[in-house]
Amino acid sequence: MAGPKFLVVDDSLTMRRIVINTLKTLGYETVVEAGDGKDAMAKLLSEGADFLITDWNMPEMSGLDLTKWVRSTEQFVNMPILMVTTRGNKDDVIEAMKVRVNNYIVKPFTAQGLKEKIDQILKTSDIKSA
Amino acid sequence: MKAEEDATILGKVNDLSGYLESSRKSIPFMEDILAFVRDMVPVVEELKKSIALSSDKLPTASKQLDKVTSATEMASTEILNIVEGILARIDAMQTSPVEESLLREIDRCIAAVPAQERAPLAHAWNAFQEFVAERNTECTQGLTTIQDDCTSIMIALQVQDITAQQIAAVNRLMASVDEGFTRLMKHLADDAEAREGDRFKHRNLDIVFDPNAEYGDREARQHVADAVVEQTQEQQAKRKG
Repeated sequence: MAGPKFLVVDDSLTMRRIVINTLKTLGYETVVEAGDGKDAMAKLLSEGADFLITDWNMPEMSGLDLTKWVRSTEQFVNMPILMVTTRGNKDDVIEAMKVRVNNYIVKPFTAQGLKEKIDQILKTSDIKSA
Repeated sequence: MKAEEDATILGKVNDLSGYLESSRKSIPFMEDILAFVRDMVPVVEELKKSIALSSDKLPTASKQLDKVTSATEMASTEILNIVEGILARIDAMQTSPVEESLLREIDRCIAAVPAQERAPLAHAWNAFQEFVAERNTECTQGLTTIQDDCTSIMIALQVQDITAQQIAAVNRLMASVDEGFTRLMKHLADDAEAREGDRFKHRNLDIVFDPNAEYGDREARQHVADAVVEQTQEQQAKRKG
């Protein structure tokens, strides 16, 4: 099924597989993955993506710093970004919203929860959902 | 003059007498202090041995934690492999094409049967197709349920990532305690052994972690996040408007 190309970023291989498989059950087949923020930057520059789903706590470059880079890079400045993280306190969410993530989901998430967040983001973007 | 000298000497004798009296009174006190110090030496030695023993156990505990994370990662990978296999097989079953050509062939055969024999055959064939369609619906519903259950299993495996972070936090704590023990040992013994710096560095534990990572209370934490996101989006909308 056609839909956006997702870039899934998490230093945990288990988590990446969970997110990617959940996206597939939701009808999103085009997914690439990265193990940290630096790897994600390289993948974006070499392969591109339409939608970024990123963890926060990662080596080399955190999800927060990755988001800052995306928002300051002209070709990706409007890319939808969903933060998926264990960090659930109010100050963390405020910090993430300050760097302009589009939405925020706390681990462990449900498939339905992930779908809702993706749908909410896609509603306000130019990209079509699955 | 002699009288003055006598007075001076007497004064000094009195002073000396006073000092000797103070010293005499303080001797028991000094003896108590010395006895205390004598008693403390073996206690400090025992303390040093105990700290060294406890400190030596910490790296062992750290290695055990590493094994735990490694084991849960392996188990999660195996479960994910199986779940992905099930989902792929379900996907294949749901998308396998109906043998339309076979159905058309059967319809042609029925149409070729003489008119007086055709009706019961057509009736039986239609009944059979309805039966197959019902079974297909049941199978499709069953497969969808299995698919949903597989997704639930997969979602629950997020526990591996969360527990890995919790365990890494405990490991960091143990490393801090060990650093404290090392500093203490340096005060207690000049010949305290220098410790290896990488006793708490293991592949599974040397990760970037959230010290507050937890598995429970998901809905409450998501509500907090949703409230902040909603508020921010409202503020952004007001600014644009």
